[in-house]
Amino acid sequence: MSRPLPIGFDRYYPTDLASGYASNGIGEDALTLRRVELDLKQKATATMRDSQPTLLAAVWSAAGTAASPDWDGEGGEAITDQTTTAAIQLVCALPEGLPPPTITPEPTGEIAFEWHKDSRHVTVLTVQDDVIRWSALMGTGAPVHGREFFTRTVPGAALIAIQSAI
Amino acid sequence: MPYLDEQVADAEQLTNFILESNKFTTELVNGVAVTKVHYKAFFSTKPHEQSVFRMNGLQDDVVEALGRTFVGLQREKPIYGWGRVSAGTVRETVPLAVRADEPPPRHAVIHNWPADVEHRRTLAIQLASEAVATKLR
Repeated sequence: MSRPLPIGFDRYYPTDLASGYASNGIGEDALTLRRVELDLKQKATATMRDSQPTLLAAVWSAAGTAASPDWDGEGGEAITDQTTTAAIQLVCALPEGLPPPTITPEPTGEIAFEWHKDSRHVTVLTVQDDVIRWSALMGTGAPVHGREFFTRTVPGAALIAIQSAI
Repeated sequence: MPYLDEQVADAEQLTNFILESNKFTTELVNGVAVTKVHYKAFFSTKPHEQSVFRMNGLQDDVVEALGRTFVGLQREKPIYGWGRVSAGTVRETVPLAVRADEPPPRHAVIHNWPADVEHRRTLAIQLASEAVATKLR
């Protein structure tokens, strides 16, 4: 156990702000917990952090594919610059532990992020301008869908849906 | 005079022709790769109607020929295959409905799609999960 220090004691407390953990514990238990936490964090970040450049490239590819109206020969709507920006922000907002989604343009002018475990566990998140939408089939449960203004975060209901499809 | 009965029975299979290869997906079922239909094959981009055909009792080569004639040629695209769901399954996917819509012969539509994009997409995911895929190439 680390001994509590009096208030005002002049000592540097290294703090890992990224993980939200103070790293000044020196006991054996604290070190073990710290190692486990770091290990989990390393494994988790490998999922999204390693994929982020690829996902960003997929966003730009989707935007390029659907840059002009009727890009699919079926009357598809063009993807706006605001939608592309929102998709980049969504890539950055996805929790680190998630497996990377498949990113594609939608004929509605949206950019879609899809997680597909099997045909009965599918979640699709889309952004379009300032709106984020989600549609999901979660096994035998009732299908869900919703929309919100996109505030650079993933709505809780959408996160629950994503977890069912990974 | 319509080619088929105007009433589409629940047991009838509705064939949704697929003109883009990315509208198929593959998943492992008991370790075996199985071709499935992607939701985009059923995703009605605007709240209109999803075109399908009533091909009960026809061999695959005949279905392909009819698809080329009535769908592929008009849109100048090859037929990659199709997904099939029963009319009953479509009707169970509330609020969707099915009605005959000739010509062309054997044509029908899945209609009554909701206005909300996210709701339409959920319904498309549901239909795709129930669809049986036939991939030609």
